[in-house]
Amino acid sequence: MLASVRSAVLDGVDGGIVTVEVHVSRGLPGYTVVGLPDAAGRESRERVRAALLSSGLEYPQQRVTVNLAPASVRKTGAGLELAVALALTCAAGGLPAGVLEGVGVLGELGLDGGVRPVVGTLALVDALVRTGVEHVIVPTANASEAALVPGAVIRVARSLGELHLCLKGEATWPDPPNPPRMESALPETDEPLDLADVRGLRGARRALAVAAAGSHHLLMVGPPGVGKTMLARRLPTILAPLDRAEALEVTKIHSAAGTHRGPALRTDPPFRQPHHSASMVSLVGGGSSRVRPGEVSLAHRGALFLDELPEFPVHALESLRQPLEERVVRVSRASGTIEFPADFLLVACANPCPCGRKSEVCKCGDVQRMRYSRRLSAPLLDRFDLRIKVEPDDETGPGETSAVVAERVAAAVARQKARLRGTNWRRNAHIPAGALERYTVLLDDARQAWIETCFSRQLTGRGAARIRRVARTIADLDDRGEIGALDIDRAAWMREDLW
Amino acid sequence: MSRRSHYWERGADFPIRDADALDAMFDAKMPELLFGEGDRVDAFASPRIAIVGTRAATPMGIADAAEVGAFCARAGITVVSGLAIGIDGAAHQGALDAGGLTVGVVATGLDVTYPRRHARLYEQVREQGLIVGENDYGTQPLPWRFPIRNRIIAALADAVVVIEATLTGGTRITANDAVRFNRDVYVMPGSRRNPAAAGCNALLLDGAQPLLEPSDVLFAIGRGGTLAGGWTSPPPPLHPDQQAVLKALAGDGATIDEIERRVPFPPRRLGAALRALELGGHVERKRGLWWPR
Repeated sequence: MLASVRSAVLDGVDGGIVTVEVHVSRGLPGYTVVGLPDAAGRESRERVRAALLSSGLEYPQQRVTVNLAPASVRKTGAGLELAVALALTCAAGGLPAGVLEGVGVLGELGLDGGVRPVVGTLALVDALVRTGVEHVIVPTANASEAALVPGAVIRVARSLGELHLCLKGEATWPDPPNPPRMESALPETDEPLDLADVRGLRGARRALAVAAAGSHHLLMVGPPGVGKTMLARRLPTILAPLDRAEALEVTKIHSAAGTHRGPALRTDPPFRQPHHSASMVSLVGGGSSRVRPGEVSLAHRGALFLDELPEFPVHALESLRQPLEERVVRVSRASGTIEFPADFLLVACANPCPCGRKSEVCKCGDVQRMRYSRRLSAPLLDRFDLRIKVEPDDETGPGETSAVVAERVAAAVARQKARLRGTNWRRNAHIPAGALERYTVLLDDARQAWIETCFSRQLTGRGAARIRRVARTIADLDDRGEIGALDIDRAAWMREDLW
Repeated sequence: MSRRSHYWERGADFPIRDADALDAMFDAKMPELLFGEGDRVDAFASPRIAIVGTRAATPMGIADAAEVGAFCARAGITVVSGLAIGIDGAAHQGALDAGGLTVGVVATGLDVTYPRRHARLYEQVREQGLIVGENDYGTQPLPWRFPIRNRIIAALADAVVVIEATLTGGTRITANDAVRFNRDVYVMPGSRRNPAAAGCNALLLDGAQPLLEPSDVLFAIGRGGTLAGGWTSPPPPLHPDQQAVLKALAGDGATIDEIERRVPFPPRRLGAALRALELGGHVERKRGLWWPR
């Protein structure tokens, strides 16, 4: 009178295995769920009962105890209901014993016995497969996402009744989904964005390409209307596409956050642009019942664009410092600490002063300007490898198209991946100071330029290292193996004190 | 911390020597009582020149103010100013660094430091001069007090030097008061492109004396020509590339993009020229732009 089946719930962006045990015994008819379910889990009894009856299955008039193990972990969401219904049927004798052996079950139930999708399928199936589950039963809507995980047979569940017949061997399983192709999920806009739309701004364009290639955080300061935002919004058109491993990571996070649209494995890097009213929790992640990934994690392996940087709440900005440095974000709550990946490129724009007008007509005093810039702390500003002033210029010819720049960026990314193979670092910006001599070889005149720059600007060790990394990326974009003096100079020119 | 306090009543040793006459002739409403703090009461024994200007100064204006302040200090002249950020602070600092005497006139009580980031400057002025004001202790910085304070700066000085002024700022008030009180006003001319020089050029149109060299201030105290004193800019760079960069800056701030477009040689050579110019003190980087010095 006991049956158990494996299922999984989300823990951050990873799956946590839950064993659903159902015990049916003589006694006063009743239904008890133990093992820290949330409100949705306790309500599941009504859905499970109605779904079983609608599907023509028996609901035992006996004492039913559902245990969600491990008992000490809080379970959120309704994704365990299908597992409960199957284990209950099995315990009540409606399914042969042993049929749920080596099977993982995911799905929420409708009152009519239909199976509804769950969030985070990719992470959940991945966790189940890691524990040695051979068959995973998933809702139809999640099937193609589940098929991304190698090593598991995916069974599609359309309804509880059909599933019951298939498990008993009285019906054939619906066709398994085809593994989805690598597909771009870039939003179709009326007018496709292209870098060629932006006139002039040679320096800013160059900085944007360097940022995209080497993952160097970029801050652009300039009067409104000059084209900062326009330029930054075209960043997705030049970012290098994700490789398969990266695409899986990104899809997993977006699936867990519920922001993943469509069945495709997304290969375009995410581009997130939260409004400046964003709270700290929305940026770095958090939440009370279920800890959700924040914008920094949704921008993982992609870019986070913060327009009007000084308008963001100060503590929200300061909370970015740790993820910027460590490329993961740890969210601690009373219930435990969850680590989200947060390897993103930060691109930010700001006006030089609160009025935001051109310097000729700006009425802001020095004090106001100072107060405005003070919203951005020195440690935060220091994390921008590229800090440039964008001024209107009189160049009017269209610049290079996105396609041309994207090709250069992709080549530079490939160079970096080849150079950094076998290390934990993907891009030049990630090379630690200790490994610079090895990975950023300077020619004689470049070394001379580097030392002179350090002297004339009185750079700290950290500033000197940042210039070297950026110089490496500039050389990569030019497809050169060694760093020249001009690369060092350009790197220094893209790191100005803006206030 | 030195807090030697002083006060002066109207009389023979009142720092504004012609206070009674100013009141009688121009209804100047000079203070009856002046409070002071600092170690050098003798600051009032020397000739005094006020150096004033806008708070929204350009880096070039800051450098000029410091240089005029230093020249005055070397000539034994006390520099009077308002302890504000921008031109005022630079003038005080220039005089202090040259070992001269300086007087800061405040619009608050003497115990209030405003702006707070000048706390260190306040201490230095107390050691090498005086901080004076007409207000009681505890008086807070309110916007309307500053224009009223400016009449004291104008009256204390034998002449007023304006380095950079906007069209609407308080510096115009100081200059107008100085003219009213029969003080000479010397003004640094500036480019029409520099909003922080528009007020200066307007004053020149009104008939103020142009300040072409720091030593011009000596004429105001009857010592004209007694001391040579041009601008102490560093010797001009010899390398043609560096000269070309300075020419490309054209006396104004420019982004690296603009410089790159304007110089006649490839960017490969620009880096070396800019580094040498920065090391030699010919250019500096501020607010994301490159400025000549």
